[in-house]
Amino acid sequence: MEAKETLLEINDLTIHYCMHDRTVRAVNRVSLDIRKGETLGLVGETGAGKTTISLGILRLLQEPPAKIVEGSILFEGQDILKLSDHELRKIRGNKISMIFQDPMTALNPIDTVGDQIMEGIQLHEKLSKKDAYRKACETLEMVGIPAERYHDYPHQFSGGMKQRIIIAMALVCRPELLLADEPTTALDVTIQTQVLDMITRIREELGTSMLLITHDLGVIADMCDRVAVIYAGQIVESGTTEQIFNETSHPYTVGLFGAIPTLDMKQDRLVPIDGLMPDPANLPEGCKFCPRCKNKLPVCETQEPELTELGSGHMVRCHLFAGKEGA
Amino acid sequence: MTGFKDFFRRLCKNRLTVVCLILFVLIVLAVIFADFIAPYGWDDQNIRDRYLAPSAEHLCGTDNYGRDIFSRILYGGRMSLEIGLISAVVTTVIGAVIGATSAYFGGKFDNVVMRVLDVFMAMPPILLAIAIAATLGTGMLNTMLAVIIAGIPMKARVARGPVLALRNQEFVEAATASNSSTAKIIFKHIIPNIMAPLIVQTTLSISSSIVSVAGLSFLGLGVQPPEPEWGAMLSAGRSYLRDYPWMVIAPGIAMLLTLFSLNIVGDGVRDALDPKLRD
Amino acid sequence: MTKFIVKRVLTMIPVLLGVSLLVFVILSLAPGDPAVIIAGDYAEESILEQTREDLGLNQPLLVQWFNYVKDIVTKGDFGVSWRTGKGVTAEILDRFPTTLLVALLGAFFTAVLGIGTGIISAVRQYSIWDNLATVIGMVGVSMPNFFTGLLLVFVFAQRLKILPASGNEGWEYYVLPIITIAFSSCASQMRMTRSSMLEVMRQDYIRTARAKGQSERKVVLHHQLKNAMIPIITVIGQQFGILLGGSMIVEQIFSLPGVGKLMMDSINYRDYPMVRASLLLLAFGFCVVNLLVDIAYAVVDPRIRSQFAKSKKKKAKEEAA
Repeated sequence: MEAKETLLEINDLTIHYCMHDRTVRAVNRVSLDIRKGETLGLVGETGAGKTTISLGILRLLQEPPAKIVEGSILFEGQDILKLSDHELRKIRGNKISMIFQDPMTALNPIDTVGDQIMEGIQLHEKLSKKDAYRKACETLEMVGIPAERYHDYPHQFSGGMKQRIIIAMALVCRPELLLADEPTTALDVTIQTQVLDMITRIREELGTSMLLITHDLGVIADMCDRVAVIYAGQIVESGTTEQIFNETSHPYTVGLFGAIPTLDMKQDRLVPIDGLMPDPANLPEGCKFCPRCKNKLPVCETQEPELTELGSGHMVRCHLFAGKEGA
Repeated sequence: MTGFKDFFRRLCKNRLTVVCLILFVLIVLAVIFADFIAPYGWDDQNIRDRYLAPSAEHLCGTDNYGRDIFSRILYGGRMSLEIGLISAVVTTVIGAVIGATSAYFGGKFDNVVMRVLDVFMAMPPILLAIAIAATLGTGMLNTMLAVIIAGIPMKARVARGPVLALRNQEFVEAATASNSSTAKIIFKHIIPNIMAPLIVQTTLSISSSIVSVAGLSFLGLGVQPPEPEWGAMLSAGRSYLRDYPWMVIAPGIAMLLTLFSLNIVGDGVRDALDPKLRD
Repeated sequence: MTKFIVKRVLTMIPVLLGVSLLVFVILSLAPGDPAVIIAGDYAEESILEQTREDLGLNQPLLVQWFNYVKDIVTKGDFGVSWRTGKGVTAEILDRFPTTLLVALLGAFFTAVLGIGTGIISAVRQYSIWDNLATVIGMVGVSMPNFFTGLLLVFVFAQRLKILPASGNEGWEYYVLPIITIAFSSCASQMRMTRSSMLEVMRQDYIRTARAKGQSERKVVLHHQLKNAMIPIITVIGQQFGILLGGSMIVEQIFSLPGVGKLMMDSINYRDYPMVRASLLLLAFGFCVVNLLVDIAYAVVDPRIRSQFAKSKKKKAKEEAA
């Protein structure tokens, strides 16, 4: 694989939610990197910490209860976690922007959609009001919404259209990186493809990198260059899409492939493997996946496995593969 | 029962709520057992002991007839709490029945009921209560009636919303489809589901009923002296405010404490029952 | 928008008619024979009969009501006082500005102070200010306004002697009444503002605004407050009703010659035409405020606006899209 410049590098990111009586360890020493122009898929069950990571990248977590305990998030060489509020605001929506899960609630109900798109332009670009307006209209057209609907309000649009508007809002300043948090989960199946195709098209036009969060492996196969699988706040396997699909290694990932939902087997949430994810406030001692694992070893219960590199860039966190580096 | 335990645990999460709950229970006990606690009767007059400042003998002093204010506050509290509780429950129940039936049957019936309620609600409740009290005349029963009638429209409105939402929900539709009788649907499906908001409404309106009754009494339209109702006591003490302020301040503080603890407990009950805030 | 306002004003007419009927019916049930009240206890039966005839009291209630409304609409005539025998209208209009002033200023302070402290409380949730405001707010909500009023009189008029206790010879006579009337409604306004600000704060679109790089100040003022205004406005409307009711008590305590005091005095004299007119005027004021509240809703919330907009235009758009 050709070496591209790294755009975003997350090192040992650890995020906890501190409640009155317990601490939820949502993200545990996660390291990820996204290179220029590529799409990284982040797969995992609901509650695995995917959304927390994406919100953490833009420091959008509600603090408290959330707390970024340790780690760094390097974007173009700067640690986002150390930026001042002012510097951070220059990145948000400008260099890194975000598409949210639920288009129904992510738009301000009392502002026109056009004004909500224009808000980002005016924050980050020195354009006259007229030019900003024109640009907002162009962006609307780009996502397939007629510019004359600039003055309409969110409640006048369908879910799919709202998601298009959110995408327009995210892309209006041509960001370097797009964080897409399950962008189609809330939409009808028929519209999902349309929206994803549109994201791909625009992303290619603008050369934007993307972190795509999903629990849909089909989407991953279509859209991602590389994949990271997350379980109980930990990366359990990562590598190129081919590696993950063809050389599936971690028992959890294997389980995920065993449970791909199909159209005739409609499922909202994946329950790929027997049992539930451990309570993140009370994680098991050894391997987090151990209680549900079919191939567990005695060591799994007591000792947490480290990441092992199987092939070039193909990492697995599992005792089964310990000592098999570079196999 | 686990539901109640659960509810109680949530209620006790907030320290202020617990303190106020205890305070309120103490107040309730004190007024229930006023006969044993009160050092004097509520109308025991003593011409020689008029206008006495608070002391060990008369905790809250005495009034212009030489009556012990502390004793009067206890007996007055009994009256106020009784009135508040009864009117809150009656108002909420009648309001809920009107609102629920109206929403359940919907259509023209609902429309007519809502228009009538609109008319009632076009008057601020206290004005409506004053008008009714002026017509009915004074006295505890009439005053309660005025407060109840004035409060019903609002409660009906509040009960209507959830029923309207429930009516279109699947389990009610399923019950209708499987030929359950209207009464059965209302009692088995609708009422249990609106119990929580009803309880919250009742708790929160006890204090507002107490204030309304006391307000009417203060204006001279409610409970009449020499009955020791708090509003009436404040009204009577007004003329002596400059020189014997305890005649006003003591019953006022009693009222404030009662209402404060009631309101905090009411808020606590609401938070503990509100499914939206459940984790 | 104009259409919305016109429509809303038109719906007020049946409500006001209903209110007048309600007031009419309630007061007609009051004990005592009006003729006796007017002509005196020892008047002869013939005089009583004559009085009844003059006042139209022998007609059916609905007819009396119809004539009453007709006189109001066509002549602005609210009837004749049973006590003085003079027209009610002039007396009421004379008293109205006092009540209006107290209620409006009360509402003004309620809105400014209540919303202001509510915002601070919500933005600095769990801070010392928030806790302080929450406790003071709860005391304010729990304090009956007649007790507040009497305490203020005791402290500021009788002990400190810096403000007058009663009368209306100048602006200083309005200070204590307005504090009294605003205190509790301020408190509930604050509580409402705080909770709806917190409610909105959890919404996804607030996060969206932050994700765009919007400054914290603008997120709070533009996105959060504007959305929170919807429930806040409702409370302002309700508060105004309570303020009008409170004006009875405040006018009574501070001897302000407003409609409330007039009404209470008239109740004591059984001067029902005066009571009726006072009630109607106060209810009318309340309706107007609710009208304004509804218009404010529509200004803030496009969803309400579009309910009233011609739905044709929207449909056409939807199809075109």
